[in-house]
Amino acid sequence: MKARASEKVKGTSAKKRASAKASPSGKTVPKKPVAEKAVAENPVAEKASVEKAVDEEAVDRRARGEEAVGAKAKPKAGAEPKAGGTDAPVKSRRRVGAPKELVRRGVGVSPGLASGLALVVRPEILAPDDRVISEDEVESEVERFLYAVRRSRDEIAALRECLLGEVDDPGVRVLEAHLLILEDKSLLQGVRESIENERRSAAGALFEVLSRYIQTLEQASTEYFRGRSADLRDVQTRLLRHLNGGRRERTSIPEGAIVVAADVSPSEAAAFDPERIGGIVVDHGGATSHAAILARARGIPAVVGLRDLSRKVETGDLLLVDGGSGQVIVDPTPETRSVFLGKMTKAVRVTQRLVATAAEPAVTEDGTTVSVCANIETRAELPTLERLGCDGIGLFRTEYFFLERNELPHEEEQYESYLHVVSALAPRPVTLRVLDVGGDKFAAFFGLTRSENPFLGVRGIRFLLDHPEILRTQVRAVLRAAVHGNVRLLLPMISSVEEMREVNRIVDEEQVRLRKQGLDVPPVPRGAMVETPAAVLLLDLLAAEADFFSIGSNDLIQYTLAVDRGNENVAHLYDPYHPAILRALRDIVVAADRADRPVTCCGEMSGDLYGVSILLGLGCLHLSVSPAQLPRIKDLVRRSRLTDLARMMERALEMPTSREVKAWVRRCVDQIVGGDEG
Amino acid sequence: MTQQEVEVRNYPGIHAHPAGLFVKRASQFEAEIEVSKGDMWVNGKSIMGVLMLAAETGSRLVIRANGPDEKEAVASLVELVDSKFGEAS
Repeated sequence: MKARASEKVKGTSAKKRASAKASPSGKTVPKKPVAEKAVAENPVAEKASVEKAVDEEAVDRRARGEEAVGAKAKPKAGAEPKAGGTDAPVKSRRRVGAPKELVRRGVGVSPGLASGLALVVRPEILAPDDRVISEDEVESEVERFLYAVRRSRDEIAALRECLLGEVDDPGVRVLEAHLLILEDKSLLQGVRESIENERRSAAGALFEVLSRYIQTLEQASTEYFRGRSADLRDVQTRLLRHLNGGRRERTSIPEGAIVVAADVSPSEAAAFDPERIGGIVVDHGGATSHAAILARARGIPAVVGLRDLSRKVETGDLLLVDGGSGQVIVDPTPETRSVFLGKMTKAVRVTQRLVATAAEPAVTEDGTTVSVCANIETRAELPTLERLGCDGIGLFRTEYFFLERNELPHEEEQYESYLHVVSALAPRPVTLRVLDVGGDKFAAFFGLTRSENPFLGVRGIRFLLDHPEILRTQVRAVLRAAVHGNVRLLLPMISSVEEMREVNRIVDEEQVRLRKQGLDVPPVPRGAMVETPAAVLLLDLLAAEADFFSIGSNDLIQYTLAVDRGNENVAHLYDPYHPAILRALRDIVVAADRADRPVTCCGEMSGDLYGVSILLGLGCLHLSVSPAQLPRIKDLVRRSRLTDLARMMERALEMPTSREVKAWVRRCVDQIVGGDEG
Repeated sequence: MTQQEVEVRNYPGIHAHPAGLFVKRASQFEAEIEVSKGDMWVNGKSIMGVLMLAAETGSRLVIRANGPDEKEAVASLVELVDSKFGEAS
């Protein structure tokens, strides 16, 4: 730890030098962000070293744009970088004579403090090369364009195939409209002519032509209808992606920037790099929207539900973000900033203390060991885990592995990825959850618009049982990886015994098949996610089919309380302190205990001080949290007394309203554990 | 030539999906089909054309067709718009 800490310091000063001569491309911008991110309760913010945080001067310089910040990174369409400084004198350009800061409060969804320059991300993030081509190139560019059209059509058609089982699925309807757009003669002809007559590159021509359509549509429309050009943008993006070699173009994000957006799609959120992004500030969404969950997982301070903030902020504005309280300050006064930076410095100190003890086991004050595992999405998170220490992987989400490819990955690719994680963690357990598409994730994966009621539709195990070939491929990859470590298989959205039996049958068959091929596949425990009230009520029966259970608290709360997560109109009804939730959790733990099946909680609840206390008090002794939260949760466990928490929950279970529960739990926990900051 | 006026009733209007339904329906007919909102006329068999009308709820369209099955075409398309595109949007 020590050696590493000093490396960090060295790295920091080297970085300072590097910053000064960052190349215009932004490529050599130093690896770590400056002190502007201090993730208070989020120890991964070790990345923002104390030295830097204390160095307020550096922050100041940075804020004035004197170091290579976003201004130098190559701009993308719509990102409108402003050259040079972004200090008070510059901002007064917009609000002349009024050096007033703009304070907004949204929903803090990923704790931590960040100070940085805004990067306003508009939906159109793909910029084509718009060069003039020579006559010789005309034919090949037309060919390239037509190829991109064919690829896009194939892609959409393939996605549509996946969905055709659905009756009247809105996704299918959207895809069919996109196919029609890609077959539209006037569009294809327009692009072709632009290449031939105006000598534009294929990408330049299609960008230009489609943009013209989009502009026409937007100019002709009133506010609400304007959003409807999203389909054209979607097609445009897809085509450009194929012209770029089929890869998803990533927005280039200046070091330490605060990303400001109207909305963030799950796949965009998945691409957010904590090494580069200082904070995330989003107009829409609630605490459990995918962007929020991802920000938390990556340890990036984030605030959502800020209404129209993205339209009030320009790229280059200085922002202060408090991902805990939900406060966002645009163009802060010097006084505000200095108070904020003081807070950041203190936060970093707490963080350091937590990280120092992270690798030690989590034993409560009264001597019970609690297993604290990690939730991960990609193997890229392994290095963080190594540093922070965990008792295993409580939830390896495999969706992003699918998402990144934009197509179904082959068994070999999956196997290789799982093997990597499984052997890195061995002998500690790795719980692999099979593909969980549906709800909001469904939309992102297939590039669809949201359906009316996705959470009650085809998702999780329902999707997989409708597409057994996808399930079988994944199961085979998981079973093969199990040969090399300690693997558990987890099934999402189980709501009946039949589903569990059907999966068991499939897993058994694949296991037999692999063994016949001579592979020594060990027995792999199969577990059910407990996310629906049905699963809670059936837990004793499910226990006959499942070897373990995993509580997905987010969905469980959502389904139990009938609250659509991410819908800002009802988001406030999403409530872990609701007496119904406490009872559900109690029933799960009691029933699982009776059947001698272990229960892990891998939802958001296990990443929150009070949530953890509730879970421990109810007897759920296996937690799985995002890597960034590991040290903090372990610290909390060590400061807890199980007997006290159990007594607290006995009383809480008798309370009729969530308000009483909340007040009681908070009061007790603050007394028992002594608050979050320690 | 046959033509008829119709009001867009589905909410929020003819975006990609209803436009697709319109174009598919129009393409089943042999007649040439044009649609207008105000003084903008577009090809009723081109989704880009129909989209460009930016026809919101409450806007009025004129559908006109020219060809052997023009009467059926106009009747069928008016019915589609009138039925709020089968409420499928």
